[in-house]
Amino acid sequence: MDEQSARLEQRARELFDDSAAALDARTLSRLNRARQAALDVARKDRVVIPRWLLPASSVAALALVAAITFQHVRMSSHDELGAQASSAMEDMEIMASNEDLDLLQDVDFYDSLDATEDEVS
Amino acid sequence: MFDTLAQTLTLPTLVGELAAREERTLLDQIQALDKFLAGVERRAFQMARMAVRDADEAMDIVQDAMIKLARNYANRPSDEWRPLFYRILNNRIRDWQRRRVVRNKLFGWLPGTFVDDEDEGGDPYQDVPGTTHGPTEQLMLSDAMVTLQAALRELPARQQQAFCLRNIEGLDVAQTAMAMGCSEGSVKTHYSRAVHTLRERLGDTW
Repeated sequence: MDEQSARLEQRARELFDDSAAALDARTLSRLNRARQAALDVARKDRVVIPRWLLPASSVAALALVAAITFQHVRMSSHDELGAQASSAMEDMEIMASNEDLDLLQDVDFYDSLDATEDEVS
Repeated sequence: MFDTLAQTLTLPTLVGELAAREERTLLDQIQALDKFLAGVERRAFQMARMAVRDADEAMDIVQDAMIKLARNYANRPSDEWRPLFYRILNNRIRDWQRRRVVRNKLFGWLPGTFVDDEDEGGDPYQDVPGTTHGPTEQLMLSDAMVTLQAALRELPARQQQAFCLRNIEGLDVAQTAMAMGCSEGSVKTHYSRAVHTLRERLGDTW
C-alpha cells in the first residue's frame, strides 16, 4: 500500500476514534443500557445449580443409589427364575420344531421298543 | 455396599464443588463479555448510524447484535467474538435496509412519510459536550467526519464493510472474512477497491 493510501487509512481511523470519543452522554447512556441488557441475557441463559438446592441434590443422589442397590437385589433374585426360563425356552424350541408332536407322545412306546430290541440282541 | 455409602456421602461435596466452579466460570465469562462489548459499542454505533442514517434505529441494531451475541455465542472462544459480533451487526443493518426498500416501495408515495430523526430538535442531551474537544475543534472534526462518511456511504456495501472492519475496527483479513461471510481473497479485493475509490473522491489534501 503506497504512502497516500496509508495516510488516508490513518486519517480515517483517527476521525472515527475522535468521533467515538465525542459521543454525547445520552448516546453513551443508551449504549450502556443495551450492553447491560445483553449481559442479563447471558446470565439468564446459563443454568447454574443454586446453593440452596444442594441439600435437595444430596437427597436425589441418595435416592439414585438406593434405586441402583434395589435393582441389584432384584437382579440376583432373578437367577432362580432364570432356570425356569431356560426350560421354558426348551419347550418353545420343541414347539417350534418341525417334528410331529404326535410321534413325541409315543416316546414311551419307542423307549420300550428300544429296550426290547436290546434284550433280543 | 459400604463403598456405595461412602461414595454417596461424597456426592454432595462434589455437587457443591461443581456448582461453585460453574458459577465462577459464568462470572468470568460475563466480565469478559462486558469488557468486549464496552470496547466495541461506540464504533458499532457509528457504523450502524452511518449505514442507516438514524440514531434510534442504529441503537436498536446495536442492541440486537449485542443480545444475539450474548445469547448464542457467549460460550465461543473470546477471540471469535469480534468477527461474530460484526457479522451479526452487518446482517442486522442489511435486514433494516431491505425493510426500508420494501417500505419505500409500499408507502413512498404518501406525503410526509419520512422524517429524518437527526433533524428533530428538542433533545435535552444534544447540547451536552463531548469530553475531549473544544467547540471549534469539534466543528472541524465534524466537517471532516461528514466528508468521510459521505464518501463511505457512496461505496458499494461490501467495500464499505471491508474498509470499516479492516481499517476502522482493526480486524485482520481472516477475521474480516468471517465477519463478512466471504473469502479472504474477496476481503482483500473489496478493501483495495474501497481505498482506491476513497482516494479518488477525497483527494490527496483531505
